[in-house]
Amino acid sequence: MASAPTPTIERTERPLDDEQVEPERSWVTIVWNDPVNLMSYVTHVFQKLFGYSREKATKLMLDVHNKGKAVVSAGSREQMEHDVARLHAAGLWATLQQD
Amino acid sequence: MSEVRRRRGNVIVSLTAEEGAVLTSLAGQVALLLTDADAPSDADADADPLEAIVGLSGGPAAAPDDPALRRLLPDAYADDASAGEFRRLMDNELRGLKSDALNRLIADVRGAAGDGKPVSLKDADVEVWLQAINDVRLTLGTRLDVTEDMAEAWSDLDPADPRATLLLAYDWLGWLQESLVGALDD
Repeated sequence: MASAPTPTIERTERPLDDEQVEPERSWVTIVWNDPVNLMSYVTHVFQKLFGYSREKATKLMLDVHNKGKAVVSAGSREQMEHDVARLHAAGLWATLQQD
Repeated sequence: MSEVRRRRGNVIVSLTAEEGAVLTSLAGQVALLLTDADAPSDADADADPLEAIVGLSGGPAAAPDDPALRRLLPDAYADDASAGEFRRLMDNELRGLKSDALNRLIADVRGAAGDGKPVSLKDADVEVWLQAINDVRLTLGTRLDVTEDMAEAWSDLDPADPRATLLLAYDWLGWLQESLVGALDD
């Protein structure tokens, strides 16, 4: 492995009340396949929770079914936690992670 | 025989007395599972005393041991630390939502049916039923170790096998849920 050049670290002054904001990172919500949930119900949940068209909801459901998982929404970590909580309430197996 | 149909904006569910009894019994058991087993303990070592004083004590950070309960209340993150933090904040609320849905289903069935009278549901009620029935199916499915292609295994099952009754109930609940989704789409 090549050695990395030594970085020069420079301290920059920030006003104390300037809240340190993490750069907006992209998080995703993933729904995983399971043997119990009905295809029709999963499609229905995607339409209801996310307002997706029947076509889009069906495509996502088929991705979950055939590929084992699908990304169903993306956004801030807070938004994805909200989506995962709603999916858990509906009985779907969902997790969030950084994209 | 049970029947689901749409009439004048409502969804009408007709259940026999036996079906109503099976449905409320199973829903009651899942509600009990959610409130009883693995209930968050006040004696949690990591409980925040301030949160306890203001009545905001969080839920447990660890996933439940019971596989069915773990399926009803899954991890939100792949890593244990984040999953634990999410669970601590959300577990009580999620258990409450699920119990409420199950208890509403039970009340609807008991309220209308005694003698197999049809239950009339608004679309919002149907959503609650779907959620509750799904949690019953998740619990039964986990207990029965259901896989996606089980038809063969089921037909080989000895009718005397104690699981046979549960499989029948599981199958019927799948039909009921499918019919309710269909009725919402009508």
